[in-house]
Amino acid sequence: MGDARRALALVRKDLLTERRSKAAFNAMAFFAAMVLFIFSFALGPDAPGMAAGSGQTLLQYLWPGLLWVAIFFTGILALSRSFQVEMESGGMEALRLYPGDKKAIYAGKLAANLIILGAMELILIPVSAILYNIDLIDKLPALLGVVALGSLGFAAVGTFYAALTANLRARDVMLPVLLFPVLVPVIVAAVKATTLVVRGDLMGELWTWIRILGLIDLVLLTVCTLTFEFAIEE
Amino acid sequence: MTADKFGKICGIAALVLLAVGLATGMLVAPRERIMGDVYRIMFVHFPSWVGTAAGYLTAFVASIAYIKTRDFKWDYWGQAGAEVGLLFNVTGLITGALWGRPTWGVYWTWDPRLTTTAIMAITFAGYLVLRAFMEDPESRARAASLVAIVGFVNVPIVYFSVRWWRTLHQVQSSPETVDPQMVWPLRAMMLAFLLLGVFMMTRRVMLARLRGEEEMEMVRLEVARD
Amino acid sequence: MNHRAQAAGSDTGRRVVVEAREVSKRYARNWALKAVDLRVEGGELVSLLGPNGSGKSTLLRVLTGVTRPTYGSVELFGAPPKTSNGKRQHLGVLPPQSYLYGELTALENLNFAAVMYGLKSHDDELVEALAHVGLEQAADRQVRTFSSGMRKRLALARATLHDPELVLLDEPYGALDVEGIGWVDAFVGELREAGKTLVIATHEIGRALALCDRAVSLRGGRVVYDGPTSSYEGAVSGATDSVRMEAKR
Repeated sequence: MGDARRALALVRKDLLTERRSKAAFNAMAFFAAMVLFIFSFALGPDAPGMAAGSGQTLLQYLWPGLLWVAIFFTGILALSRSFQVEMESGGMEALRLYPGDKKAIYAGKLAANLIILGAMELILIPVSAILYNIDLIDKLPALLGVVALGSLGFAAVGTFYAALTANLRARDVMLPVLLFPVLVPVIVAAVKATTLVVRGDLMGELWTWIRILGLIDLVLLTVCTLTFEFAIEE
Repeated sequence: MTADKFGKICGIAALVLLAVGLATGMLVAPRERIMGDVYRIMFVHFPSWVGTAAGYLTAFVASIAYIKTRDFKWDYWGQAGAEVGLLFNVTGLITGALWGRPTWGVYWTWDPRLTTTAIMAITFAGYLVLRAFMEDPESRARAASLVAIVGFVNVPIVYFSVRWWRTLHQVQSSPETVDPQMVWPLRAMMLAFLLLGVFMMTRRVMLARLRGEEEMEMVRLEVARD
Repeated sequence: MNHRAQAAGSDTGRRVVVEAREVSKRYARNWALKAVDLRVEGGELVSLLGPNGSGKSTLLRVLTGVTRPTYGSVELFGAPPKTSNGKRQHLGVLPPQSYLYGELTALENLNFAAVMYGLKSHDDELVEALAHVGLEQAADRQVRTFSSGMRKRLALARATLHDPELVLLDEPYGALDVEGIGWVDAFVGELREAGKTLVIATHEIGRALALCDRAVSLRGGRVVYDGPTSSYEGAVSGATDSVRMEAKR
């Protein structure tokens, strides 16, 4: 009970801090916009998608993959910011000195990161759909479900590694180096499921992939929950 | 039996088996019908994965033990396992690429096994990079252990996710089942690489322990002085 | 300020609150602490003295369980800090870095700390705690706009919000003007009146000697003096001059 309150207090504190400083969000919004433009320049806005065939542009064809690349790269900013706030106030030791289970800290940080990530995605998805001319309206519920599951996997591992690297001098280098290999299953399943949502699910595979994604989330979440208290030691 | 002695025995046995395995594999085993002599790289390629598995498994178990006990012995084993595992992992990737070119026509393909082994190499390379960045022995041992634990648990997840991902595309079949006459050299080489891995790990642990103890001893002297 | 009943503070007879045995701590290749023994009993007022880098902060961090000692053992209320999780209720820490969040207001900071301590306090109680440190006017101001003196007050309010039995203060006089120093003195006096056990790390030797019963002096990570403050001056005569110089700076 006390631990649930602690986790909630941490979420509220993080969101309040973020709402006032907007340090992570501004950087993320700017970065996400740049990524969308860079994709467009790199792949050519009108280049036809050869594999797609049916009058799609390359950008439209690749959108599921591009979306997740943008989410992961942008999300890194939120993760490192999340623990930067703690370092500025005196490090993780403040949180560790409070009584109670340290899993509450993980839960709180994870939830706050997920919410910030979600806010960014709610902008990223429609903006990229508009920029690349993709019709998503009727696919929205399934898409949001897949995005939520993929983001959960990302945030679960990301929060863990951000805590682990928070007091390293080279944290900006080490976070992606350690995080991305572990995220491979998440990105594979998330991109696959998103593709099925967007391009249509001819063979009825979508549900299988959603379950695979959920299973991956569950395993990663369990491992990270069990080991988090050691990650914030020093 | 001390680890030192055990390591030495493993080393000598590995040497003998390597000689036997290589000689029979290169000279006695018949040419392969389709691949010709090229297939003989498998006498190094397959055993590499035995060494990789032994190394990473050691790193994983030792890391859990370190987190539980905080005994530096386990940190030394973790580091040794990761380094030896990575060495064999890279050997396996390179020999695989060399073998893949003449037989499949490409150096690399996104087969689940290839992808998983590459991710494994990146994970444990990250482990070693992290160690290099951290100076404080306690923090380094703790952080590295966590990276090894999460990274190792992730390996099967990567394998299955990539396998399911690729099922709609062509699945790269494994090379033909091995001819009985090639089995014995291969088994000898696999055992040889396993023993070689164990030998190298015991040496690496001894080295790490010497360094750690030297550091500790200096400290003890300093603490005892004045 | 007293949200909870005085249960913790009432029976501070002469029981051992903190016990460190042969504690050594290394950071990379440097030894911050070398075989330090420290035993603090309930109700004691101990000052930890020594120049910067002598290991005061490290010792405090080891005592709170934030850092593990390389060698040796620590007991807090009779148990190792890690297993005495519930007993952190009885521990208040004032760190040099404040542990405050700049984007939050003073009241929000205390509110967060209260929940994290596991207290169920209402806003008016928190305002009361703020008033106690003279910050009721600034309750709704963001902490990043605070002066260092105000931060120190708020940090002290945060550290003692849960009415802890043991309070560890790391450099309570750091970055304060004369008025602020006087205020901290009064606050510490109050804690003492309430029967709390206090460990104060500082290089303000004069203040510490006037305030505390017992002085523990560290040099290069080693305890060079442990005894009543009254005989401190004479005992560390060799070292005192340089220590004084540093205290004056």
